[in-house]
Amino acid sequence: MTKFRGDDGEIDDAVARYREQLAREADVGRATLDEIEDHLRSLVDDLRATGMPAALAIGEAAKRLGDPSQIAREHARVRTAFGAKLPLWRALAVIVLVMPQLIGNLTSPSWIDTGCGVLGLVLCGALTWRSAWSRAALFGAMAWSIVWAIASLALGRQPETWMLALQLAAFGLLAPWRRTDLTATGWAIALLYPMFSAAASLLYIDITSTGGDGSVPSMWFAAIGVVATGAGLVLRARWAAVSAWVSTFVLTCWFWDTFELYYDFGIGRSTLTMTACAVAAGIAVAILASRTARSNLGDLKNVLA
Amino acid sequence: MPRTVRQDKDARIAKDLVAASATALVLAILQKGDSYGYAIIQEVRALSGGELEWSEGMLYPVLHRMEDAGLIESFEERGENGRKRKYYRLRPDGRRALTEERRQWDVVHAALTKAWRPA
Repeated sequence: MTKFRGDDGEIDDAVARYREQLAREADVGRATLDEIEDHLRSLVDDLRATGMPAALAIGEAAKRLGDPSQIAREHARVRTAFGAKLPLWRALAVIVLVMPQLIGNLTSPSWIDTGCGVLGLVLCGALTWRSAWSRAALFGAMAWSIVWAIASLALGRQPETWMLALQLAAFGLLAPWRRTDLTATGWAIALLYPMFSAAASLLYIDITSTGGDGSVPSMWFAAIGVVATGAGLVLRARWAAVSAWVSTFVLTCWFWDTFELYYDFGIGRSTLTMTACAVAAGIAVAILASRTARSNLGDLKNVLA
Repeated sequence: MPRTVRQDKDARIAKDLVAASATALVLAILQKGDSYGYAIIQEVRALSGGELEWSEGMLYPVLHRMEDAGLIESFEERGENGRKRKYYRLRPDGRRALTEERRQWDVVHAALTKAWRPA
C-alpha cells in the first residue's frame, strides 16, 4: 500500500534521493548539494508551470541535470575531500611566513621542539604539492597560535609581536574565507592543533619539572595519538575516531590532574585553560572523524588530495 | 579514423565544443550581471536558440573551478521564491580572462569563416 503524500511530498522525496546519490558518490559539500537542489527544484517548478504532472516533471528534471555519479566525479576533481586547494603563490607565501618559526623549532635544543619542527616541515612539503589536508592542518596551527597569543595577553603574558604578525599574515592566506574552502574532514584536521599543542606542552612540563622524566606512558599516548589521528583523517579511516577518543581521554585525565593543582595551590591556570580547549577540540575531532570516515583502514590515494 | 565533430540524432553541438566554450559563455553572461546556476543555463539555451544543450549539473563543477581560479566569486541571497540561492559575480581577473577568451574565439571564428569561403 502506498500512502498518498501529495505532489510536494513526492518532489521532496525525489530531491532527497538525488542528493543522497550525489553525496554517496563523492565528497560533495553541503553548500554544493544545496546549490544543485535549488537547481532541481527550480527546474521542477518551471516544468510543472507548463502543465506537466509532478511525477513526469521530476523525471525530466533529473534527466536534464544529468547522472549524479558523473557530476559527483567531476566535482571531486575540483574540490578535494578536505576542501579547496590553495593557489600555488599563496602556498609558497605561507611557507616563507612560517619558515622563521620552523627554523627556530629545528635549531632548538629541546627535542620536543625539534619534533614539532619536523612535523612542520612535513606539512610545508605537502603544501608545496598544494595538498588540501596540509592547508587545513596549517590553518588550524595558525588560528590556534593567534587565539592563544590573545588569551596569553589576557593571562598577563606578552606574546612575541613579530611572530604574531607573521602568524596573522599566514592565517590570512590559509583561512577558509569561502564556506566551501574546508569540508568537515578539513575542519577535523584543523582542530587537531589545539590537541597537539596541549599534548606537547604537557609533555614538555613533565620532562622539565623536577621529578618528572617523561617516563609516564600516558604522556606519550596523547601526543602520538594526535599525530596518528591526523594520519587517519588524511586516509579517511574509521580508526581515526578511535585514536581521537583515546587522545581525548588521556587529555581529560590530565585536565583533572591540572585542575587539582589549580584548586589546591592556584597554579597552572594557563595549562588548565589549554587542556580544557584541547579536550573540547578532541571531542569535536572524534565526532567529525567517525562521521566523515570512508573505510575501516583508509585509502592512501587521499594523501595526494 | 581521426575523431571528428559528430552529430547525434538531435543535431546538437558536439560535447567537446560545448565544454570548450563553457568558460567563455559563463564569463560573458556574468559580465551582463550577477546570476545563478539555473538562470545561466536558461541564458545559454536562449543565446544558442536551444542548440547548446548542457548536462545541467555539469555547470557547477565548471563554476567552482572558475571560482577557485579567482575568475568569479559567489555570494548568497534569497531568491524571489524565498529560497537561499548562490549567486556569482565577475572578478577583475574574470574580466581580463573574458577579453582573452574573446580574442581567441574571434581568431578561430575568423579563420573558419575564411576557410569556408568558396575559392
